[in-house]
Parts: sequence; C-alpha cells; structure tokens
Amino acid sequence: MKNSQNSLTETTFLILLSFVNPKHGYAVIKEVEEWTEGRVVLAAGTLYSSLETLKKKGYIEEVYSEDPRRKMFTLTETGYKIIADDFNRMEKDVELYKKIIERKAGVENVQIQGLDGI
Amino acid sequence: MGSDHEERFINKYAAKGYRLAYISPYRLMPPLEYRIYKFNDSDAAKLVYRIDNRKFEDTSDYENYMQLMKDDGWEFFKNNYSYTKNWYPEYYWFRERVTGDEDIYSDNESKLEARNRGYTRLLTISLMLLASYMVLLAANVYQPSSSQGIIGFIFGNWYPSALIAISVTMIIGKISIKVIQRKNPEI
Repeated sequence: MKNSQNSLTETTFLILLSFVNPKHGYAVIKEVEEWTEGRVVLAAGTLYSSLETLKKKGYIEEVYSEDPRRKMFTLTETGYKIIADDFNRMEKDVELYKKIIERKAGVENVQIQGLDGI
Repeated sequence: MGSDHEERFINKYAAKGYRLAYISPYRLMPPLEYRIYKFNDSDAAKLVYRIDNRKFEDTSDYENYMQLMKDDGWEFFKNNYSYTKNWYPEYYWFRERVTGDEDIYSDNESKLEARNRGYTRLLTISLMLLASYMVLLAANVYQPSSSQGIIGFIFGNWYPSALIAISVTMIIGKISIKVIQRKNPEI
C-alpha cells in the first residue's frame, strides 16, 4: 500500500483503476481477478485495509449505494491524478526498457553473427 | 498473546477434521486471559480458521466489512465469549479447507499492518491500566510492597510488572514490524 519512491504498488494501481467506475469492495476483487486472469487475487481483509487507506488519503470517496451493507466507492480527482501520474511513469519506464534492451539485443545479435562468420 | 500463534493452534486441530465449537475465557489478569477452546469432531469438510482484528468508526463500516468477508466466502465464527472482545475486537473467520493456505490477507504488507494493529491495541490497554494503577498508587489506595532488590520488587508488584512486560513486548514487536517494513518498502 505504501507509495514507495513515488510509484504505486501494482495492487494499489489495479484497485484504483477498478474504481474508475463506482463499485463495492467485492466487485473490485472480482474485476481485478478477471483483468489479470487470476494472477492477482486480492483477499477480502487486504482489500478492506486498502479501502480504508485510500479513503483516508482521499483517492476514493463513498457514493450512494442501494445496498447499505455494500458501500460503493469511486475515484476522486486526486485519485485520477495519482493513477495518471503512475501511468506516465510506467510508460516512460517501458520506453526506456525498449530502448536499452533492444539496443543491447542488437549488439549481441551482431556479435553472434560475427562469431558465426569465423 | 499473538493471534498468529492462536491461529496455528486452532488450525492444527482443524486440519485433523475438528471444528471449533466455542471459545470461553478464564480471566487471568486484564488485559490477558486464558482461553478454553472447545472442538467438536466432525465428518463434514475440514475448515481453516483466520483471526482478524479491527476497530470500526461506525456500524455501517462494521457491516460493510462483515459483508465483504462473507461475499469473499468467509463465514463468521459467532461463539467467541472472550472478555477481551470489547477491548480489542477480534473476528474469527472460517471457510472450507482446500489447500490450507486460504487467507484473509493476500500480501505481507496488509498482514504486517494487521499484526501492528493488534500490538498497538494491547499496548494501549496495558499503558492505560498501568496509568490507572499509578493513580491508585498516588492516591495511596494500594501500598507497593517494600522490597529488596529487583526480584523482590517484581514478586511484590507482579501486576504492574506484568503490565510493563506486556508493554515492552508490544513495543519490541512494533519496532520489529517497522524494521521489516523499512527493509522491504515494496511489499
């Protein structure tokens, strides 16, 4: 849950992304599980703690729910800004990865070809 | 004292097919109590138990939590008659055992936070009791046993000594959690 070095954890990012559309806690668990094809399965206790933290930080807010036992939440403006910032950071990281790794792979290809030549 | 230990104890029996019938306490000394766990043998599916601890701002938060846990497939264990329930509410949950790894927490961070909450609560209660003891002491209601040396002091004043011991243990626990969190900022 911690914002370590200005990046969100994957779990937090996915939970926030799920709250782009208003929903209750269990719906978040289901949606994240579906999105990641079962790779990220949040336990209810973890999600509840996360809801409390995100509420306190002002990233999500409660909205009207027909079922009072299942509170609905959605992203606040701050929440939108937080995931947008994280998206931009990740996008830059991806570009950087491509640049560095592809260049490195390119050099290795050349070397392998060179060896083949001998 | 730790709910991890208690959880392991209950699950040891649950893995053999026993089901928890009720938990009844014997008052040892506040905030500690001695708990009796009554198990029933059962041929039905094996269960796995998890203990959560939380404090809610209002009933709607409490209901929201209970509903979320039930939606996720956990059943609430009702027959918990612990005295300490009002001081540091613990919630006993169970579900059918498949692998035995079923948990109410899916990452270390939230697990550590839960442990930290438990420590904080026990620490707060111990310090409060210690403070009221001091007040009574100052008001001369109790006379501390005059004693020779540290051993004599502990024997003569076992209750405040125990409260101090609990507080120190909880503080050490909280510090060790902080250390783990600092070492792994990513979890």
